[in-house]
Amino acid sequence: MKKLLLTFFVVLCFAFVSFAAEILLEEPVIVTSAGQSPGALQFTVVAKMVSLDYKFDKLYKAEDVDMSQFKTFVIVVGASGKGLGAAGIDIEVEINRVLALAREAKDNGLKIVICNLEGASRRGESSDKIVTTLAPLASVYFVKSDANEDGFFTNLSEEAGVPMATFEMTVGLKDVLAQYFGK
Amino acid sequence: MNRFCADLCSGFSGTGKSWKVIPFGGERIGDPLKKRYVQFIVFISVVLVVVLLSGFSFTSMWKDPPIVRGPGVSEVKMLSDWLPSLSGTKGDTEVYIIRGSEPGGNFLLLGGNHPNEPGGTLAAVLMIENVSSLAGTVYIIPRANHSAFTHNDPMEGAPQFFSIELPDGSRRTFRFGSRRTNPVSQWPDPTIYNHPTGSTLGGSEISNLNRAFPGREDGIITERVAAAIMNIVKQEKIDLVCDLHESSPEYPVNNAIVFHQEAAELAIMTQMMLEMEGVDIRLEESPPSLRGLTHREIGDNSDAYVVLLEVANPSQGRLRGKTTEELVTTGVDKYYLQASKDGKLFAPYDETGYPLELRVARHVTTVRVLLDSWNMMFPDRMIMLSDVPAYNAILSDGLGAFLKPVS
Repeated sequence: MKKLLLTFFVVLCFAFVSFAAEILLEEPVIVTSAGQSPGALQFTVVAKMVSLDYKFDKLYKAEDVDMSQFKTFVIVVGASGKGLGAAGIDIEVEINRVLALAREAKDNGLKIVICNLEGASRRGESSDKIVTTLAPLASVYFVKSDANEDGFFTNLSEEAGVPMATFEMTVGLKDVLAQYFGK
Repeated sequence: MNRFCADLCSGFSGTGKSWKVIPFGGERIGDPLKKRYVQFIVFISVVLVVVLLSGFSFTSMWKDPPIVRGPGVSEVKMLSDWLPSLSGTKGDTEVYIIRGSEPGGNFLLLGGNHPNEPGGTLAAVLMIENVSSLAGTVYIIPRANHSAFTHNDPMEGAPQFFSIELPDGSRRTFRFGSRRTNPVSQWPDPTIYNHPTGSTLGGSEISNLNRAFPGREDGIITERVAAAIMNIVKQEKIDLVCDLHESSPEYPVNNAIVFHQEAAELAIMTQMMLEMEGVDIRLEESPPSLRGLTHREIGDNSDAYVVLLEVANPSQGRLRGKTTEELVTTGVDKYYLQASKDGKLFAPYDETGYPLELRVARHVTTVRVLLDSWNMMFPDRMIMLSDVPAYNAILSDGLGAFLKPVS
């Protein structure tokens, strides 16, 4: 009986460590927008609250970034007509830009976070297309709850077997970052 | 029309000295001419009556509904105090100044940039009639494009006025104006508007105040209004500008804070704090290429932080049905309800509509939280207001509870 309990305890410990390792994210972090909404800017404001070591540019290009300098790549998804117009690009160009960055990040061993920080207001054809295109490369999803009322992110997360953290309010991302980055 | 003219004219011939009857087809007639005289006089009379009634109706919007000076208002100036050439024109308008008991930052609040967006105007009026300042100075222009309040949009079928009942049973009347400056003030529009920044816009935008910034001091009325507002920003060392608007529910930038890039962090803080109070609002960054708007041009041409607020207004949307005073105040419209069911709107919408109370409550609350965020970020330039009407109180007690009776 003693042996059985000991075995169970050891297995449990390994299971916990492996789960923790699977979702542990590391700094430094590179952040970009996918869709040019202000969500990525919001992410940086919350990131400052937990003193996250990050670099941000809403228009990073794969050829201009040395991904080997980073450990985690955060893509904040939110399609904005105004934002895309201001950047002088369309949604297809935007998707290709972010996809190239994500592939470069994957090749360099970075973990990729797909983040919806603006909730239901950034769900729609264009935003969903960005998410589904990037889904095969996702390591984890950070999602504001009202963006997942139809289970869109839950389905993607379960299909790919990657974790998902949800939060009710924008400021709730602070706790998620603290948890995932061990802050 | 040609036949009518022919009929009318064929009975007369001018000789230079007198009129005489000439026959139709060579035959002299008597009674039909008398009948034509009568027809002519009746027609002219009807035209005159219609013209007079239209004229009275048109000019009835030229009188400003009163705004009551609240306990915090220390001075009322005119926009022409910052640009004298506006004096005596329809572009001149009141600037209400609320000085704080303590020094602090300077805040400019704009309502009525688009007078067919009454939520912005009413929010500014509520601030004027209720708010005092503990620190800092507030400048409020409730009818920023004053000329555009003096008419409404032709062919839109919009009401000229709407009114709000006060607790004492009296009513306060406000105008539902136009997005554009009255053509009496400036006409005609060019084909292309050569904007002061060097870019070109569609010709009709020359009468849209929110495309005219930073304005021209020697330009047409709309440009001069914009230039005068810019002069306030510069001469009064304004730290923060907030421009209040409304938008069609089917427009993507809805229930939103649009911010100049310098004001990004301030807007984000505001959004997060509003969210904690249960007010959902989205963020949009001002596109650098979209010229002439307050958030772009005041932000680019001064040291002020600039945001623009949008809230959904069904009475200005393209999907609306009959545009009545009730639609303006309740926002209830069956076509918008259907559009909402079809998932075509960017604002929550149900049988309760989108009432003016809700639209004004959102604006007033966003302004209060914006200032809270400002004070956290810039404690050396505090702008601290008291007696700002509370969100739930506006919704439960109605706008009338926060408007002063007019004696």
